[in-house]
Formats: sequence, C-alpha cells, structure tokens
Amino acid sequence: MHFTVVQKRLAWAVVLGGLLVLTTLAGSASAADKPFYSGKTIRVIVPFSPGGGTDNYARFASRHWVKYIPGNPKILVQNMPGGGGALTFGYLYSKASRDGLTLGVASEGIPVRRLLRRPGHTYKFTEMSLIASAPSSTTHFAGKSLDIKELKDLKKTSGKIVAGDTQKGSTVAIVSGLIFELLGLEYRQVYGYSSYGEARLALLKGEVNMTGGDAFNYALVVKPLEEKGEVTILFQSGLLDSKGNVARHPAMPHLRTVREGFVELFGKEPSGTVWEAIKGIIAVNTLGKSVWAPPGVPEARIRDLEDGFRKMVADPAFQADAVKVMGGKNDAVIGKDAQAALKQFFGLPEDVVKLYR
Amino acid sequence: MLESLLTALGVIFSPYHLLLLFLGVLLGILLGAVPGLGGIVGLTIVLPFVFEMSPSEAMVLLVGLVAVVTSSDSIPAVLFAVPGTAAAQATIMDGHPMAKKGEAGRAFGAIYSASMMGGVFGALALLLAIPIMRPLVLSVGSPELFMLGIVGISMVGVLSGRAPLQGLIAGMAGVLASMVGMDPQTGVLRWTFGALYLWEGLPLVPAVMGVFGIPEIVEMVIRRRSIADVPRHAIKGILVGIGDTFRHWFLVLRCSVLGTWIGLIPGLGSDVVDWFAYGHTVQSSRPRESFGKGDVRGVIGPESAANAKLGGSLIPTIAFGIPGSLQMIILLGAFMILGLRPGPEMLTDNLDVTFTIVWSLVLANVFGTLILLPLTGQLAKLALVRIQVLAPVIISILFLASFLTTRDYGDLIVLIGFGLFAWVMKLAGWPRPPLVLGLVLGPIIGKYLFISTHAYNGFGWLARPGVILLFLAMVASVAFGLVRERRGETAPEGSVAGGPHEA
Repeated sequence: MHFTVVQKRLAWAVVLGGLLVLTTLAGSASAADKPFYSGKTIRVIVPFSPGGGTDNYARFASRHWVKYIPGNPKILVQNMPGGGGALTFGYLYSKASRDGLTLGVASEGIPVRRLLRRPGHTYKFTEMSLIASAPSSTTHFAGKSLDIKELKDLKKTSGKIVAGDTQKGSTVAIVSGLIFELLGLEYRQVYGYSSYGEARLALLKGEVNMTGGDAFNYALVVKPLEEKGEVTILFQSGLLDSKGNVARHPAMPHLRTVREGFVELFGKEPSGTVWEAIKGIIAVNTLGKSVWAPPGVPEARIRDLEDGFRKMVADPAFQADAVKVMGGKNDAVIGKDAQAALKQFFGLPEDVVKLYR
Repeated sequence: MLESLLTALGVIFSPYHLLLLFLGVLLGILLGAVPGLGGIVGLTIVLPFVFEMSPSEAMVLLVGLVAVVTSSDSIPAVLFAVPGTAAAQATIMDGHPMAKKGEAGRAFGAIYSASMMGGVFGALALLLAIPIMRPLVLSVGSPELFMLGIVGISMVGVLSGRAPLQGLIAGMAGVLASMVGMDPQTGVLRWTFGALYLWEGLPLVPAVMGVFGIPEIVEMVIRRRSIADVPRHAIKGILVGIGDTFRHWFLVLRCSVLGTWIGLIPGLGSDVVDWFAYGHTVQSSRPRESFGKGDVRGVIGPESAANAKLGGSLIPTIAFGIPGSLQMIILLGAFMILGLRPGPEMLTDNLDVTFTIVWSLVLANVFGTLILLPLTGQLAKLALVRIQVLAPVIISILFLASFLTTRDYGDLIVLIGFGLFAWVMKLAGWPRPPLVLGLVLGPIIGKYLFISTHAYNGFGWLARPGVILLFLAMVASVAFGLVRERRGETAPEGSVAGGPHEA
C-alpha cells in the first residue's frame, strides 16, 4: 500500500490532533478534580513600602496561610505604595483580576482615610470581599520626664504633654489626641516622624514625652522599655469583642484599656461624642490588618481562602510562631463577621467623623 | 566579652557559615552592580529562607549580602555614570571622569580597597561602640539633624565649581522638587496635581539616573566615541588604584568615621552619606583643581564612607530596635522572625549573635573585594567598547532600573524629565550635583525644621550646644574655602560638576 505525501501528512495531522484533544480532555478532567488554587500563585499586595507593620504581618501570615488553602498555592507579597493605600485599593477595586489570585492587605488607617474621603480613596469597601482580619490595638506610653508613677499622676501632666506622631490622620495620632480630649488634658502633638520607631527614639531622647504603638510591636519593643523603667505604658485602645464591648487585645492581656483607665480616674463610664469617636477607631483597630479580594471573585474561592485563614489561626503551630515573631497570639475575624465592624464604622454620624479631621 | 568574640569567630569559620556568607556576598555583588536592584531587593529575596535558619546562620547570610552592595554599586557609576544604588551617587563625580581618562581600572582598584577598609573600620566601630551605644545615638536630636541638613546644603559651594550662583539656584530647585508629595505634618498634598503617583514624592533613583546618566549617554552617542578617550591597561590600573588608597589612608580613616557616624544617626539615611564624604574630601584636600575631572581621592572618600555606614547603622537597630534605613527595617524584621529582641539583650544574652554580625561585616567586605578585584579588570575594558554597541545596553539599564523603583510609568517620566532638564543644564554650563543634593537634603531639612519648632515650641532649640557646634563648623569650613579662593586657588570643576568647556 502506498500513501502519497499529502496522505501521510494528513494522517500525521489526524494523529497529532487526536492526541491534542485527548490531552486537553485529560487536562480539564484533572483540573475539575484538583482544587482551583492548586499550582497557582496568589499575589498579595501591600499598600506600603517593605518593612512596615502591615508588610511584616502580610509576609508572616501568608507564609502560613498557603498551607491551609486547598491546593496549597504559592503566595507572592508585592508592595504598591502610594496615596496612603489609595493606589493599591484603587487597583484592587477597578483593575485587578477577579479570579481570586490577586488580594490586598489594608492597615487600620486605610478605612479611616476612606471615611474621610481623602483624595484618591474612591474605592468601595462594600463591594469588595473582606476575607479575614487580624485585630490590633494601639498602645499609649509616656517617657520618663512626665514622671508618671501611677495612672492618677496623668492628671498633673496637663499642659506638659508633647506627643510624637508620624502624621496627622494616622490611627495612633487620632486616637491619642482623642484620649487627651476625653481625659480633659492639654496637649501638643508633633507630627513628622517617619515611623513610630523614630518617635519612640525621640521619646528616649526627651524630645517628646508621649507616643504610641500597636499590638504587633508591643511585646517586642515597647514592653522591654517599660521593664527598664524608660517608659510608662498608660493604656491600650482595646478592641471590640463579639458583644461589641471594649476588651483587651489577646497579645496585651495585662494592659488596661482606655475605658478602664477612664473608669479608674473618674469613677464613671466614658460617654459623649469624643468617646463615640474613640470607639469608632477601636472598631477600625478590631479590623486591624485586613485581607481583601476585589469585587466579583467567585464565592467558592472566597470560601476556600476564608476557611484557610480560619484553620490557620486555629493551628497551635501558627500561634506558637506568632508569639515568636509578632510577640503575641494572633486571632482573626473571618469574612462576614469582620465586615460587620466596618459597617458600624462607616455608619458613624458626621459630628463624630469631624473629630477625625 | 572576649570569649564571645572568639566563639563567634569560631562559628563563622565553620564551613556552612562560610558557604552562606559567600552566597550572601555573591548575591549582594550582583544586586549592587545592577542599577535599580540593591540590598532591599536582596533582603526580601532571602528573608523567606531565614525562617528555617538559626540566628547565626541568618545573620551571616543577611549581613554578607548588604555589606557588599555598596562596593559593587560603583561599577555602573564609574563606567556609565549610573549609580548602582543611591549610595554610589557621589562616586560618579570623579569615578566617571576617571573612566573617560582610561583609568577605570585604577578607579576600581581604589574603590574596592577603600570599600574594604571602610567596611572593616565600620565593623570595628560597631565593636567599640557597643558599650557606649546609648549616649551616642541619643545625643543627636531633631535640631541637630536639621543642622546637619544645613551643613549638607552648604556643600553646594564645593559642588558648584566656578558657578556658585548657578549652583545655589540648582540646589534650591532640588529642594523645591523634593517638596512634592504629601506633607506628613499637615497632610496637605503639595504639587501632586491629582496624581496618586506623586503622593510619595519624586522618587530619588530615577531622578539621579536622569541627572547623571542621561546627559552622559546623550553626549557620548552624539560624539560616537567609546567611554574612554585613551585606551590604557586596565589590570595595571587596578594595582595603581590600590596603591592610591593606601597613600590616602588618613582620608579613608576620616571618611570611615564620618560614614559610621552618619550611619548610627537614624534619620539621615543612606542617600546622604556619600555626598557628605565627598564634600569633606574636597574641602579637606589640596590641591583641589582636579576634583570632578577624575581625581582618585574623589572616589576613595565616598566609597570608604558608604561601606563604613553599615556598621554604624546596625548600632541603633541592635541597641534600640530603631532602624535608620529601609534595609535596617527589613533586617529588624528578620531579627523578629529569629526571635531576637533588639535592645540590651543583644549585648548580654545574645552577645554571640552581635559578634557574629561584626565578624560577618569584616569577612564580607574582604570576600567582596577579593571577588570584585579580578572581575572588574575585565569590566574596565567596557570603557573601550564602541558606544554604538554599548549605548542600547546602557539606555535599557537606565529605563529598566528606573521602572523598578515603583513599577509605575511615572518612574519613566521622572527619568526622562530630569534627564532632559539636566542635559540642558549641562549644555548651559550649570553644575548638576547641587540639584541632586537639594533633592536628597530637602526632605531632611523640612522634616526636622518642623519637628524642632513644634517639639521645642519655638526657636529655643537654636541655642542647643550641638546646633551651635555644627553651625560654627559649617561657617568655619565655608569661610576657609572663601579665603583660599581669594588667595587665587580655583575651586574644582569637571565634566560632571562643571560646564561644557572641559568635556
């Protein structure tokens, strides 16, 4: 039997084509069995330069997170600084792929800037999916020169307080200003330090006598200073528990909240607009570092990510590492529960919001 | 203490640690030499591996990596007038003219030997500073930092060549450009024109590449020549360069002290250290006419300071957990991962680790120089390649490196904008270094002036002893320069610093 050249080529084409179809079918069949995230890479975008608290948290958590997401994807942490988070969240909201492979991490300050409608912050949190959040809490401490032995000494410092902050509008700066207001203390805030680390150094130099931090660096850098008598830690802002009450952060169980401090000083519960405003920031702190997906990501993928996060924080191995790296246990609020805290925050009345400006 | 010092030495000489150190050094050299990459990229690459390491292993790798970045970043600075990292800006001033004279080999010899000596000195300074870390770091407050910024600005005179007035204007233009972005004190957006990209201010790396790299490449392409006008033997030049460094050992020592000191003050940052060292080198040297035209002292000073800086900047990171630069912030992150707490513990319980860091610094600088010296004999020959072949490569590097800064098209606009502006400046005979100096120092001056007036509630801080001391030192050095000029000695100017007449 003789085949012409054309026939031979045709036969080859048929064989190759058949193989191609078979492999595609096999591929799609196995893809149906395999979880979506298998063999994929998730991009997690951090809206700040490397090295900050949000970046540290993102890099720390994502390293563990991948182990609990079905399919064990890879995670790549990328930095997209700009506009105090506006660039990253604008990108997530309107440009990022909606396949669940691009996520973003927000700091506490980003919802505040969104609430205040800072330029560029035009994305809508309500249309995006909040996957999980790691609650934080701000700390507030005084330097030696204020000579605060116990909390009631604070009353004597009115007019002498010079607080060091990074910038107007940072959550620590807002909440410490409000706390001084609440306690009826006269104070001055100095802005411009590039980080709360630098502000802390200025406190040690005696340039300022009050500054703050958060739950993520408390045990590692602030508490040691207290043990040496360099600083007096006054209170933490606290976070909202499941019933909506102000509670202590799990990484700082020995540190009184602002509410407790107020009760100790004045013998009554705090109230009024200033207190409402502080509670608003506490709600944002409860959100802490939050992980977001763009709008329109398939529900099943969101659930995979949420479940992964839930399993991660339940794992003692993760918590042991959290104590080692972040200095304390790291709880998380997952999905819808976390979004509730945010809804409360964006529903604040205008007379409260204007205190943040 | 001596025992821990020797224990740490024993640890670092174990084969595994040496291998890690070597890997770190290799990666550091590579990342430093490629413009746009640097120590920060390197640290973020290796950080995931640190999770599985012991503290001493991790420190050897991380310190090895960052220690040599400031050595190899001078390769593109000398050859193409493109800084490998921000710490190599001032190396361009005399390094590139040296390459043009066919002395690239000599420049590299001087740079690597100066880098090594500076780095070793920085490590020694770290060692000696351990007992007195606290007062050293705490003595410099915001008013002093503001004054240091002013001292830096006074160097405009040194960098302006024969055109002091133009230099001053260029410097002020630089300060003005540095004001773009969100003002951290008030949250006001300055000159951002609704562009989110400008919120963080104009990025330094693309701007510096535009100011120095673009005009050089444009000129070379127009003239159609290789970088070096006269071919010479590169290998022989290296030995001459090493000899130069040893001849100017006192300059190396002074600039190392300067570098260490600037490093240990959190707040000044790595962008300024080489300019301070260059300014000091020019001010303290004579004759001065050859600066800017390829004077070997002009590379020895900045390079020894740049490598000494790392030892200094480790001090506040280790002692207070307060990082002075982005690199140190990431290094501090690694500390946390390893369960090391910065602070006094690093000098008691974890003294071994601290000493491991010191030894890593010393060894990394020695390794780095030993690797780079034979390598760059070949690299120096690039200066002889026809520009038609080289130009596409250099231009690609300029654009890629700029784009890596924030991966936004704005980076390219900044590069081209500053490049065109600087090219016109060069054609008109205006000095360009003051423009960069203003860009680097502007934020420091603005920030610490604001903090000082607010923290001290007024201008009482002007009477602080440190402020007065720095002010007097500045006045003295400026007056000294003026007096000498009147006596007929000419100030330096050159192909980078000065006008079109000498190129």
